[in-house]
Amino acid sequence: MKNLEQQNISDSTFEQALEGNKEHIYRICRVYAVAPLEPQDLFQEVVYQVWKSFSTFKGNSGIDTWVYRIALNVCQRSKLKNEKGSEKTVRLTSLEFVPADQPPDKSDQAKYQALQDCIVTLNQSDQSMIVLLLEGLPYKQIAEIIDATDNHVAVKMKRIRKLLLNCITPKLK
Amino acid sequence: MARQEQSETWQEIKEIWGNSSRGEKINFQFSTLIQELKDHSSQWEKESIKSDVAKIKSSWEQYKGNVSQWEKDSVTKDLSKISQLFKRFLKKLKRNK
Repeated sequence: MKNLEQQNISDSTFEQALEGNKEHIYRICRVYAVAPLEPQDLFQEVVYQVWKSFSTFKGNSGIDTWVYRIALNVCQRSKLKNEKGSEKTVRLTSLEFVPADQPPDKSDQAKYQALQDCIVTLNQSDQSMIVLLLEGLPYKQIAEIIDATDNHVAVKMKRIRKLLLNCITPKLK
Repeated sequence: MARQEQSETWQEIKEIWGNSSRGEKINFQFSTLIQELKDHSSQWEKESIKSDVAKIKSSWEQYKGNVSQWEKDSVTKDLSKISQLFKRFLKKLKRNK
């Protein structure tokens, strides 16, 4: 009985973790997805990995921090897998992607493309930091996710922000 | 670049980023998702065990020709000692019951 109750609690925590973070996960997957992989493929892989690692979540960090860490790991590893030519991913039929009622217009798409192009020019560690900053996370949480000190993040972020601004400003004009 | 311009561009970047997930809605069917994930996990475990067994088999094929009679005898002795100890342990356990 107790086991069943615990299982129900953990299932509901898992559901909350996914429901509350689905847009964050999708944005990260979108920026890292490189053909032939689609953001939806990476998203499903993240969901699967969150599930697989869920029993190891000890609560030492917040659940959002933990989900961000998994999402970044999966997306970064996918790049390596892609380079090796093994792009096999999980297919989950219980997950549905529905096009929004108002799809983004061409100008928005072009701006997003410009942003993605600039982010991928950064090195892997800088990419993680800028993506998390754009997600609106404080330096402390970013440091926790990438396993660095707050100070290190603060120092590096100034330089990365400048790099991104220098790259994107002419493209947005 | 002027500070004002930088701040405006940064604001624009944040908006572009924030809007980048609005093209699609993501719906979970949690009632079936958890079962589906469990099925995938057990399939993954099966495949993982299969690949481990295949690896062990192939390394054993290479290794078995190199095992000397002395090593085989030594393993047989150890196994018989372990099984004797185990039998004694089971006897004691039965007596204590």
